[in-house]
Amino acid sequence: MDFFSRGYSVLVGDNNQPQSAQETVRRLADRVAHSTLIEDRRAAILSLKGLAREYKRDVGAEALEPLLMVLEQDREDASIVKPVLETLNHLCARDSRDDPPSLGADHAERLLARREHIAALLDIIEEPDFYVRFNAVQLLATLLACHPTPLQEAVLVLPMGVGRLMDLLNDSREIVRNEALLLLIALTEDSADIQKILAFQGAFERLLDIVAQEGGIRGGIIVQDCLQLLHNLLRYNVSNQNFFRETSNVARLPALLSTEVDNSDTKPYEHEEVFEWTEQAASNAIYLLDTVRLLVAPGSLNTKANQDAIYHGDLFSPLVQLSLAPDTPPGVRSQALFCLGDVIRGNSRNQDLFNRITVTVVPEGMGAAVAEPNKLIPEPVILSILALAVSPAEQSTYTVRSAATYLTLSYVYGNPETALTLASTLTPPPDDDPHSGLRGSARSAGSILTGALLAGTELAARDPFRTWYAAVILGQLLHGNPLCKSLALKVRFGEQDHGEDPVTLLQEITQALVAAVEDPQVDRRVAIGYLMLLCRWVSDSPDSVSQFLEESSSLHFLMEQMALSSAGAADPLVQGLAATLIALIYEFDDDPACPLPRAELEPIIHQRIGADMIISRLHRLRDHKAFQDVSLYMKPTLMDKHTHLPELYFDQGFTDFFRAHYDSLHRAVTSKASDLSRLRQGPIADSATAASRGAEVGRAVDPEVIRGYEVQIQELETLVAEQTAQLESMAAQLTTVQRAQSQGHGATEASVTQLAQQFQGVQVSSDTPDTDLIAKVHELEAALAAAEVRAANVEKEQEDLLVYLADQDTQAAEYRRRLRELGEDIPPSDDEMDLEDLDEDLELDEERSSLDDEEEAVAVEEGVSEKTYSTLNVSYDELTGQRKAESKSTDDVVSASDLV
Amino acid sequence: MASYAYLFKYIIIGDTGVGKSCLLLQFTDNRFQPAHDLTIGVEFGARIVTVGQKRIKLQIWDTAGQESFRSITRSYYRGAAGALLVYDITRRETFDHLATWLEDARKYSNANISIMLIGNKCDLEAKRAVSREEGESFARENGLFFIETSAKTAAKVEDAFVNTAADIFEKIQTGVLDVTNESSGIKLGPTQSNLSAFPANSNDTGRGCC
Repeated sequence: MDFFSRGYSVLVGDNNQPQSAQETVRRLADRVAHSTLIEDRRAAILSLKGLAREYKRDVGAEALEPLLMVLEQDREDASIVKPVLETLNHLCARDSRDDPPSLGADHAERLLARREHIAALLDIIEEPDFYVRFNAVQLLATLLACHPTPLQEAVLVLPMGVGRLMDLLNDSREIVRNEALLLLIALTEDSADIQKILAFQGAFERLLDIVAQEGGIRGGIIVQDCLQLLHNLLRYNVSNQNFFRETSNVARLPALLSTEVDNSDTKPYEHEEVFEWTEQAASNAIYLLDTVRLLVAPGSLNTKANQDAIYHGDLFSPLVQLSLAPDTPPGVRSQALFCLGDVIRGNSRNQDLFNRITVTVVPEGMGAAVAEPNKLIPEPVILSILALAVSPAEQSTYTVRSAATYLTLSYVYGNPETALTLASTLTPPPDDDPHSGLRGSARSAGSILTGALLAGTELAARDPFRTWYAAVILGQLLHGNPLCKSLALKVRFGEQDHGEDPVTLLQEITQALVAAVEDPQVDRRVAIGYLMLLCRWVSDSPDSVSQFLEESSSLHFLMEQMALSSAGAADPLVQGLAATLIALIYEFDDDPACPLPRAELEPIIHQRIGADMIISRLHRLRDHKAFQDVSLYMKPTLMDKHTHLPELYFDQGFTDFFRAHYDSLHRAVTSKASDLSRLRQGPIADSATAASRGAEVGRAVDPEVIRGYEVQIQELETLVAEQTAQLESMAAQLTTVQRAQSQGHGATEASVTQLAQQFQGVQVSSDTPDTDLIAKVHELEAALAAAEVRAANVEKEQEDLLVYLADQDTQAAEYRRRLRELGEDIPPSDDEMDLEDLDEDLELDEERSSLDDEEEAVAVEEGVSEKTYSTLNVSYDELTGQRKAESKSTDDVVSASDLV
Repeated sequence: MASYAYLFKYIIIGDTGVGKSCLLLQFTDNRFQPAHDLTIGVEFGARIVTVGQKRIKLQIWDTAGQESFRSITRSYYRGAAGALLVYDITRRETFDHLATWLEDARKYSNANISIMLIGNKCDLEAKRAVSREEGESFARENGLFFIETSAKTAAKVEDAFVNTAADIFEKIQTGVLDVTNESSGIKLGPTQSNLSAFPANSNDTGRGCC
């Protein structure tokens, strides 16, 4: 206490008159600067520290420089450095009583003005004394809060700067470590350079170590701080993302995300620790999931490589666990679903891995306790996700349902095969199925979707988004996928045996649309959902257009909706979509069997409705705010004040579709039917189809698809071989005939020379058929050449596919080889696994029926090649016909010479 | 993830335009990019090489040569086990600046860092401005390894990286370098943690990944 008495003694003046504060501070500052005895300096500093709060401005004005000097000169002496740091902290801190308010910041600025001061501070951080280190870190944090840029620059320029701060994370005293974390979070906020240096210094490993020590997401706020720093280091920093992946840190994430409690250490008499979702745990989980999503953000350059790294890291099980476990907080749950979606989106291998996950589901109404585990039915995880996407509003939040929908969309994104598998279950299984008892309890993707789509207006009024999500998902399945469309067109409801007229799914949906629009209780989002679905369905599909037009009232309904003009009844979104649907129907009305061919539709479009009306509706839809504010994730950020529904009307898949078709729709509605027919069958349409097919082939990297094509290729090749053989035998016949003819000539010449003159005559007479013959041979050759060209074209297409397949195979083999090298337990072949899993996941019968449908659909898809082949056949038939004619004429010749 | 016995951190330093990034690109990707963008700050690359039948992962930090980045790139010296100091044999000034670079390297890196002096662009013999002998003698005087490379033709690029690794590896085996010291720029690979090579030390650094 000697310090204090000595320090405060200066407050008392000569005549025991209290001095002014300013005077006191000046004296103390002078002592700090000039006293030779360290005790004196220390005492003065302690006094200043006491005054710093009360007389911040005076202390700052008089003592800041002397204090900073002490910092540089006496930095080894902890007992003096500590009060200096504390005083400086007071001086630079923001305080509501400050006058002027920028006082703290001004002091900080003066401190930061010289780089030596920061260098001194960074040196002091090395000091092991707890208080010194702690106060130094705090002071740096204070400075950073006032003037981030100069401090960031200074830390960067000092070669050891970032390294020293990074070392603080290794401090065994948690308070120091935690304080350092906060400092580093602030320091890395927007400095890519500091982010990189930290990564270089091993920050990733260190941070993940701390998170692991603290128990992963079960840990406290410190885990959140670590994850936030990790997040800062990776966000917008491609280089660090590469580094994170290269240093195999992705593999460490699953363990951190686990909610399973390790009770192996628990002694028998202790209570086993049970995981509970505290607010902190949820927050940690969200941060960690956010970090994962950062690595696989759609459209980022690194996404593919990171997705592949995650494939190896087995992040799937904790993610699925978080997504489906009923006790997961909704915020975590939706984040896990979004995360899974990002992880598998557009990555066929990850989609495939996801596809193989099965989960056991507790049947509804049965608590987990009641159900016997071995009686539970395992089902593909996608069914649970689908069910979650269209679950009633009472069960799940909008964000969770949006996230489940996003995951489903990601699952089929760029993977037409998967879409087909899901679409194949749209057909309800027949009643006379011997397993119907069993089947009744199992659900299929199709039944989940149709159940939600056709739930009736009463349910739709209560929960419009159930229909909306289902419509978005089905729309994505059908989008640009002719096979899915033809499958969906075959789906019928109603039993003919029971005297009901079977109604197709398309018509059911149209009816539900009409009912939804006519019922004022039903929100417009339901109609919007249906219309988006129908638009994507009929696009590029004359068969679907034809089926839609079978019910003549449907088109009238659309026209009515579009033409409404009273303010209350007309909804620009519904009207725009109705106009889009009408325009699509007009554009793709190419089915010759259509009840309302395009030529008959033309007067309706051009005279009754008017092309300008359609175009203005399309335009209005495109410019509508709801149409612009579309996000990939369908996050319900804003809520409608009146309906308490999220401001969510369109999914990005649809808006992209609409924008891609906007111009062609515009052109279509203004064209005459005859022009449009020509346009659609002309080279433009052809190249468009070819391009879309090309794109499809490009996307369809799934081995299953390639195998399908392979089979077709083989079939076609056999056909080509057969026909080539036929052609060859014909050519052989031709030469035989020719030889026979010339031999005929020779014999006649040799045996009867005196008949030479007459024979000459015969030759003359046979000349005419001979030239005919040659002409026909030429014709044949030309036909053959043409046929060969066509065959070559087809073959080239097949070859391309084969090359694609071969690439895929070598790649797969290479990966398997590498993985095996690394000791991964890799099943013999992915392809085999596929088949096995399919058999397990889906019931065989269902699968078989879907395969049948698929075959038919493939036949439709392959119509083009078939047409080529039918042309080939035709030309061969012609050939055969010609051949017959030829042999006939040769016979004539022979008989003529016989006659002679 | 491929397994490896050790991880070595490298830095590549030297004047701007001497071909640091191209050397790295040639080494990691086996390709040459004649018009390479200026490096901003620091870029990162990695590759596994084999030295003495050990698989060694090289984690290479390619720094910007421009003066303005100099202060930032200094932060990477500490924690590097190897440094590739590069100059351009067709531009004498890049050779003249070597002393400054070396001074920085000595000042900020750990004492046992292995430094390889690289005279790059040796495919441009006609434009040569620094003789091989000059390079050799500078290296000898300062205790550096020396090699002339061409990032364009890939000549000796592999050697530049691998020979440095061999030197570091030797330092580990002779006990000059401490594997457990984080700032040495060396780490045991994920497969090494339970090997008995460094039983006393390996308990801390080796666990990391699996």
